[in-house]
Amino acid sequence: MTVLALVLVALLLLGLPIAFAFGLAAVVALHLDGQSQLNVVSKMFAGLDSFVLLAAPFYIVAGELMNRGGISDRLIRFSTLLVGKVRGGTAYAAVVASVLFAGISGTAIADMAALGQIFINSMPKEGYSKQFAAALVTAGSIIGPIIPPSVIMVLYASVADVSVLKLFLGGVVPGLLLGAACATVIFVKGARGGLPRTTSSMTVTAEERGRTLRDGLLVLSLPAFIIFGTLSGVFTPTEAGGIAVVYAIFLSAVVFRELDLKGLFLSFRSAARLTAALFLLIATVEVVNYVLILAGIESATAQLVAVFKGHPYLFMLACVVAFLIIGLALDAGPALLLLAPVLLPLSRQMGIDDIHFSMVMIVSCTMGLISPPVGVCLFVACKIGNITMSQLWQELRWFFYAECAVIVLLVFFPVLSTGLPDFFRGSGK
Amino acid sequence: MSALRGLVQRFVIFADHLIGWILIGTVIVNAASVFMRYVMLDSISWSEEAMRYLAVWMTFLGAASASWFDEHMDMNMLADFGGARVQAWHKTLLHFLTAGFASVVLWQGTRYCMMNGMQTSPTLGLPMLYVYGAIALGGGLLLIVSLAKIYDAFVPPAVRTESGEKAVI
Repeated sequence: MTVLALVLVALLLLGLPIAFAFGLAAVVALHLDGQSQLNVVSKMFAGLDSFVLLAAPFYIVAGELMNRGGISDRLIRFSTLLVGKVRGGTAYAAVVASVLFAGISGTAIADMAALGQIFINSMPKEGYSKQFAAALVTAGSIIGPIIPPSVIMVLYASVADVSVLKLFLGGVVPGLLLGAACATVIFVKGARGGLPRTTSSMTVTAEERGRTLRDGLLVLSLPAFIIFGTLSGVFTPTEAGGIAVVYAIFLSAVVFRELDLKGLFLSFRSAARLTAALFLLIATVEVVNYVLILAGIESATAQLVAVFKGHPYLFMLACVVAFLIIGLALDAGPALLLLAPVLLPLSRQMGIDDIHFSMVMIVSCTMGLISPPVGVCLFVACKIGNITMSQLWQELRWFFYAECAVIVLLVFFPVLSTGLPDFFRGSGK
Repeated sequence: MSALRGLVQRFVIFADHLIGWILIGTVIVNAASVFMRYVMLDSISWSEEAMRYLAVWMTFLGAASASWFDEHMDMNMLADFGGARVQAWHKTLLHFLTAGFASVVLWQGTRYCMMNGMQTSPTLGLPMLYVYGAIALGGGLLLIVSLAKIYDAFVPPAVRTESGEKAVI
């Protein structure tokens, strides 16, 4: 286990792609342990041979199609229609757009790329600082993987053996709370005179109102369709993802008429490459987990359980701190895939609900996307806004602290994560 | 040497198109499965297995393609460290390590194919050679891409290929 950890850390620090670092570290550990290298490919195949996983490329391609099909503009207009007239309207609209976009994209980077270009460039014209605009969109981007559909939850479900549907339902309230946390920061900043005294310049005219409302509702019917179609048992989450792709093609190409055949195929190619990168990670994590089991990870974790026995909340807080620290160096996906199979069994032994622990873990690890120095959403925001990381952090830190407060709420109030899954299970679905 | 690199590029672009078509195929099989079950009241028994195996092909071919376009996730801490020459050596080391991993996948994937390739899949009745073959083929393609990237580290290509964002979720 020590060799695995040392080689893995060295390869990651060196900058080797994470999937290859996992794979190569496992190869070295197996070799030193005298195990057959055939285990590398057999475990990689076993990690990929899962029907649940197939939902991930479907949600990725659906988000890609919607984005290329003019969805971002429509969602922003819809958000402006809802909150654009209040003071600081554009800032609130950015938060609402993040929440709504989360309902179709499923990834933070898609959220960041789609909304960043528009808000970071337009908000300074209304008097907001560029740093504030960038910080706002960056903080909002992590709502993307929390509100369903979520690619990260599909991957998590496949390695941790948790229901995708329950994770999707469990993510709704935490996602909305993250949005509320961002809105609170805007409100406090506005109350202290830190925001321009203007309403949004991106207003929707009376003639556009009906069309904006129709477009917004058409787009937002996608997440509703996925959740309720799956809840009613009409299809599995994986099948729902495939149907979502068909719906996204219909909406972008037929209704909005903004996607041609070339754009359509580019979306599939791009989504397939992203999927391959993610699935290779899943495959190599499976090999690493096999090495950990061989090395006796179970007895090591049993000792950890003994330390926290009778103190589940303390255990969860310790995990949150660990996730936030790991998030300083590692992105959410690899961190979750590596830690979930190790930590979830521990939380079960302590009597913590699977969805409760999973949601705390997913939200905490997702914070890694906006934590300096290597949070990838930070890089995108700095690039779009042409600002430095420290300039961005000056404004982002308040959003970061507010989102950390949401994590603490999630730890101490399990109902926030488990309420919706329990409600639908209670109603016989 | 540059002609050889051009050949590698053509291979990768072909693989990149292929994974796009594989994803389209997966969506079609999925839609057909739901359609058959609810409209024709007759399930397709092999759909789930076919989709899983298509995903295996997409992963191993796509791993090489994503490597070509620099789309694999990394920690990116040393990206701007040192001058051009130091960076070239750093990249070479990373591609050399990737080539090492790819070699293991190619070698063990081939062995795995030879040992289990004659088994047949449960519902499609497909020889598993056609499924496990993806592992060896993907490993081989990744090895070729890594070697081409080592060449690129010292002789940068005149025209940049389409490069997307890092894979981040």
